Amino acid sequence: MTLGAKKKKFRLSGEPEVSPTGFNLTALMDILSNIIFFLMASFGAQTLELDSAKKVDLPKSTSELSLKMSLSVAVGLEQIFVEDEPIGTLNEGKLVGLDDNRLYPPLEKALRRVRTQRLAQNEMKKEEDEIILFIADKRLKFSTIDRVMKTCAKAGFTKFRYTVSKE
Amino acid sequence: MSGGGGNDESSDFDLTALMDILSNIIFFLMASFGAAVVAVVPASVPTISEGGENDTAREEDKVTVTMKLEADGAVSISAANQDMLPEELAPYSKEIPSKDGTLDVRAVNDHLWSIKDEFRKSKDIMIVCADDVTYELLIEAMDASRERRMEVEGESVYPSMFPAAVVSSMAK
Repeated sequence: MTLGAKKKKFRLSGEPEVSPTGFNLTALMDILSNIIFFLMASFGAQTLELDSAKKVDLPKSTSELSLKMSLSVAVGLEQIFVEDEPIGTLNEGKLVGLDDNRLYPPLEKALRRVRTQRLAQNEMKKEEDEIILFIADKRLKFSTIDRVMKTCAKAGFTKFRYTVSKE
Repeated sequence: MSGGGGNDESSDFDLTALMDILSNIIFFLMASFGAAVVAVVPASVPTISEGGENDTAREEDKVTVTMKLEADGAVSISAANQDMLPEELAPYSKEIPSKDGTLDVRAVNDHLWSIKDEFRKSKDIMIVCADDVTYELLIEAMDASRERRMEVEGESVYPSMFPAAVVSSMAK
């Protein structure tokens, strides 16, 4: 890049014309464009994950581990979602419709369906497909959390990433 | 606009206005990116392994810690190793009462650090919660067990303690 070198252009009349900018900005424009694409991609991924957590008040944590895409299960005080799709309701933070083993069949069914769909799309198993991104309201009691996690385990998902807000 | 760099020819367009717009977008995106407020905490649930073997530590410098958590924040901590006698592990058991109606984070962190200091290879902790423990309290307990918050020569350091948390309910 030539800095400070004013390039003279000539009009048809032969009079010299000074370039509106003294710098060649093309390289800088390339850099800025790259930064913008990178930032927009990161920004998009962050917001995408939290679409299902609109009514969920996340607990605060000192964790610095960043969010990664995986199968999401969101539990609010009134509804439970799998991949942003409502699959059931809660009454005052308690799951309605537990079976004899105190598990939640609609959740197991939804998780098995999503897993089958993903396996059909990907020939190779990915680690991310085995982990649940767990989004839950901080006011929920452990009895509810435990039911949801055990149902996930029955559907074959034993690893979780609890979504938290940074302190 | 001529694409790509490496050309010494000045652009025929006045790029100043476009630069202004791009700079504004960058500042906005950087502010949003820097203020990313969401993080994750890894956890798992207990599973039954084939052959009925359990995951309790066997190596000499490794223990599996169990932390029982009550709704008021009271905590009971113990350590287990299949090749060690209960008497050897007794000093690492401790009851920590709640402080002001919630978890005594400092006391829990201090005790777990003393265990980690003794058994350096330890990573696993089993957090056993009472039914009425809130999700918020569980996360607080996981924070207290995951890393040590300390200052060394004026600098904050966060050595890892028990990052592999298994969350379970109390046996009924």
